[in-house]
Amino acid sequence: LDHKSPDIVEIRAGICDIFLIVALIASVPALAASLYRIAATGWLHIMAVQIFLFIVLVFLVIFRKRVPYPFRAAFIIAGSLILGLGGLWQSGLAGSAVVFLVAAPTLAAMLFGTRVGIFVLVLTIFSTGMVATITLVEHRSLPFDPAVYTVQPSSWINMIGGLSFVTAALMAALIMYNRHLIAALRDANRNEDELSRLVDEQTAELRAAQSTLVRQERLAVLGQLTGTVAHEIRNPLGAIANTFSVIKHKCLQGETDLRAALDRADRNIKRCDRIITELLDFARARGIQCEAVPLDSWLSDVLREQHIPNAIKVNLDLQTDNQLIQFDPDELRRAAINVIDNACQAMANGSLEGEPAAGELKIASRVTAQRVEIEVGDTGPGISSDILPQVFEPLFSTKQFGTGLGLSIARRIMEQHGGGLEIDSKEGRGTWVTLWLPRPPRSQEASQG
Amino acid sequence: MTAPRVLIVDDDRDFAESLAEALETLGCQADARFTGEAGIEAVSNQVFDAVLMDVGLPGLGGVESLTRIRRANPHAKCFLLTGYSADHVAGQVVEAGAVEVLTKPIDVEQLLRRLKTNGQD
Repeated sequence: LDHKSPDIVEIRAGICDIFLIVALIASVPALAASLYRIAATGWLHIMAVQIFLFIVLVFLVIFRKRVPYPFRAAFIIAGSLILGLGGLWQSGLAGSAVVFLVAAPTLAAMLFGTRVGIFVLVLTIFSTGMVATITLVEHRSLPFDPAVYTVQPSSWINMIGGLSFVTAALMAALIMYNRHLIAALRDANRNEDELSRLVDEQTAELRAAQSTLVRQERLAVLGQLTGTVAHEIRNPLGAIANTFSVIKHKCLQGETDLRAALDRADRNIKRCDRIITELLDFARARGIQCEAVPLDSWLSDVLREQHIPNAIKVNLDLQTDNQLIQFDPDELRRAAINVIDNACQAMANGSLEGEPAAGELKIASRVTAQRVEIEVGDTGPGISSDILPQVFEPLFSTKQFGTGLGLSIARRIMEQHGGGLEIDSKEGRGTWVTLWLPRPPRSQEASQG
Repeated sequence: MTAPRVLIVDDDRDFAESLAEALETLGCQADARFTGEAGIEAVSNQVFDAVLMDVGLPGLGGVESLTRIRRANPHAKCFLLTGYSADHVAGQVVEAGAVEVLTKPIDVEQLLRRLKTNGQD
């Protein structure tokens, strides 16, 4: 809540109206006393002012809804100040002057806040000093002249009227402040209760939604995984079942040439095994055990162990001077094989049906300023830019057959080494995958020699 | 009764070839093709009593390929092959106008009985 907030302005406007009404009530006996005084001692200028202010006050009370709040408040403060200074001018500090002079800054503080209150206080002190000085210079009636109190009963009436005005107004203002405060507090409490209830409710809803989401997500991933596994395993399993049916009938007919059928069964059993290994590899994150390995000869060995179709030309470009590099040879082999397999399969998919996979597999190794890199490039159909970001997602596969875990596994292995896997592809041109390791510090390189 | 002529279209070559061979040992005439396009080409030259079509084919796709095959060869009994569960592809069965879905691995002898029954329908 600040001074300009609608709540505060509303409270102040209410208090201002109370002051206006109380002022009107209090000014009736004061006016009567003044009239009595005119009759007794003659006309005084202050009474003209009093009567003028009374008329304005009556109008303000009647039309208080139409006059903006700052005008009403300013009228009350200015009226107090004028009556106080007028009284001082006319009769010294006797009578109601003191009351009005005290009331002006008090009212200002209540209706406009501290700053305006202080301003009016300074103004009151200054103007009181001015008026007091002038009256002293002119040798007019001095403050606290006992004669003033005793001789003029109108002053007493004015003072009592003024005092009761200020007291009543202050009490009314306090009561109103109090009432507003209590209401505001009650509102705040209610709001707070309501708010905390809402927060609790929404938190519970969110938690439920989150756990539902997590469960659904888990089920979705599980569904996707089981779907992929089912599809991947049932194909070779189907081939094995068909082959066994062939073998069974050939045996029944006494045929002995079962080599092709047995080879096929064997091939497909290995396929099932590879899928299961891949799944287990993916689920298992074993730590890496690094050792110093001569990179180029290790890479040549890995390639030799790989079955690469004859139609694919292998282009080796090894340029690390067979440097000893720290890595886990088993894990890095898995990463390299996954990437090389992808390259071969990409070229197989790109070839026409019935024709063997053809193309060029480029394997390069190099040491750059920051990294040790193994690059595997193929001349397959490439990956379109819209699916390129998805290739690292587990279970995502562009191949007809495959669990979609190979690249995820390879990347994880490289990251475990503090390196990474980068992929670059141009549709129709081919794909380049870079497996990189952080380059060891110079001292280490030198000692490995 | 003549030997049923069966066309198998599946991009898993081992599966397609082994199924063709198994059906042949049981007395069918079976042809294996590895893409939808090759399957469509096959029915343009020859009439088949049954077509076994893999759902998840690259390129044209199993459903579209089977639809075209049925246009060229309306009397063939059509089956969809899948490695997923049968309800996984239930919608596609109707779309492709297939008789039913066969989940891999397939019981070849049971398949043969079904081909013969259907052949007599």
